[in-house]
Amino acid sequence: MNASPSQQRSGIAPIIDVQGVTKRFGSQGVLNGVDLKIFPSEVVCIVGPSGSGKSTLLRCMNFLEEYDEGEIYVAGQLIGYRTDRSGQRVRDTEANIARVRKPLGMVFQQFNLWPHMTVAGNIMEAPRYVQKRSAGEARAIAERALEQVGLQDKIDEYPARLSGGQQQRVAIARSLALAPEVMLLDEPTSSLDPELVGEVLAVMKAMALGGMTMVVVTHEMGFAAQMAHRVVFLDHGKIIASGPPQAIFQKPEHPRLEQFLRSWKERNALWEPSS
Amino acid sequence: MNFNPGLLLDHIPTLAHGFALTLLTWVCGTIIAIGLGFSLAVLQTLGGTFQQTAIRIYNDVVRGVPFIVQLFLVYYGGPHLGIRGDAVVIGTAMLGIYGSPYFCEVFRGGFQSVPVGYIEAGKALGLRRTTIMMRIILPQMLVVALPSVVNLTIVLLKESTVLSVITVPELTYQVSGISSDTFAFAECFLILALVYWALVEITMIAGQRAERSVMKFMQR
Repeated sequence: MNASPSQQRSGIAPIIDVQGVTKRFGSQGVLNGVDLKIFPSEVVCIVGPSGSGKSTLLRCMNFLEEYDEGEIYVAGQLIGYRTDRSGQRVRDTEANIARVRKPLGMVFQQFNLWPHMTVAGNIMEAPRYVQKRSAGEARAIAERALEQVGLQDKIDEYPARLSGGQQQRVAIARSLALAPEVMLLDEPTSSLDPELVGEVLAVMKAMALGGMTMVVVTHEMGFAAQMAHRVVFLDHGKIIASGPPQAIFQKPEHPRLEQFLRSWKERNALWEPSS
Repeated sequence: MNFNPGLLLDHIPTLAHGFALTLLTWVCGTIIAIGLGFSLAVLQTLGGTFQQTAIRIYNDVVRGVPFIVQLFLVYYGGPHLGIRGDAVVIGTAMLGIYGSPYFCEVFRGGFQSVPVGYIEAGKALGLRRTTIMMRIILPQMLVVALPSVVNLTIVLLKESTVLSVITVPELTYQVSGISSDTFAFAECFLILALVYWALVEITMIAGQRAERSVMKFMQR
């Protein structure tokens, strides 16, 4: 699985192209010149300590977060900004942002299902009001999307009646319903009970095996090791290591990465190594 | 002791007219108050510092002056300032204005209670701003706001009695007239009290039903 398509595809255009992106909250730099290309069918996991800027980077990719410098291109189009007549960079119109955002699906840590709508209602909303499909068509799309995450029988439930894992699977289905080219997943399992993480990871694995392009911010090193073509390690808003998971996890070259992995191993060890 | 509510039967047409006008001023006043309060809340949430300050001053002034004083100012003082109008029209409009800051506060709190993530999910899926407002924020806000909306609606019913002082011939005005003509004060005002109480009860029951239907999804 881990054979990286990006290496064999030097001639192919990236679907997401992050160039020198900088973002500050006040005087604090959250992203400090990030360059990252995501190629079609690639699974990229972004890992790093909390506060390293990984979620911010992901949120910048679909412009839920503004950035100060640099450019992010989605399918070749700059997202979030345009140049006005005087050559100044200004925020793009909401309609343009929505258009450029179209190839991107997003899954949030907190699921963000709308609690006043049923599962069907949540999934049908965008097909109906963005793609202007009929209720019948949208319902069929919802059924198919739920099949992909194995929750057909929950179609008429309200989110409050589902477990966290099921809610996150519905959130994934809601995104899949629009057939995005890339899925952005922002710590999709971080707010789940440990026992519910597996079902969400299984859905993500199925997506990855189905050829979906994915950018995953995660603390699930197991998923990253098994499924990622490329692991990107972010610290203090900078990419300090990037490569196939074997290289990142087995021969960490950067001291900060080595330290991060050591602390992860200590936390996840069931007992102290005897020697 | 002489207690004879039967004598009110002679005045049924007058009472019916007064009752109709009470309903009219109350319902229209409440609609104005909700509409105005909602618009103010939207402006306050989305607007800049100027709008926010202007609305805060408006809210403070309207809430800081007793309703009867506002009515006298506009109805009796208005003609000197170029404001002229029928007592019913002015009374209804003033009831709406009087209620608006309270509704504004309730709706603003409602907006703030909607998690940002719900809105971000909508944006990420490409929903338009109006769709997000109407189909995600509004229903979520209602859950929080509805109990207070019902309360304020009841308050406005009771405040509508104050319109009698500027000669709006609503129920309280008519009953006061009948009572001073017949000297049947106890009968008149007891019946009047019962009518308002009944209206309040009906409103509360309707409100509870609405709350239940709006919150259906929260039952696990």
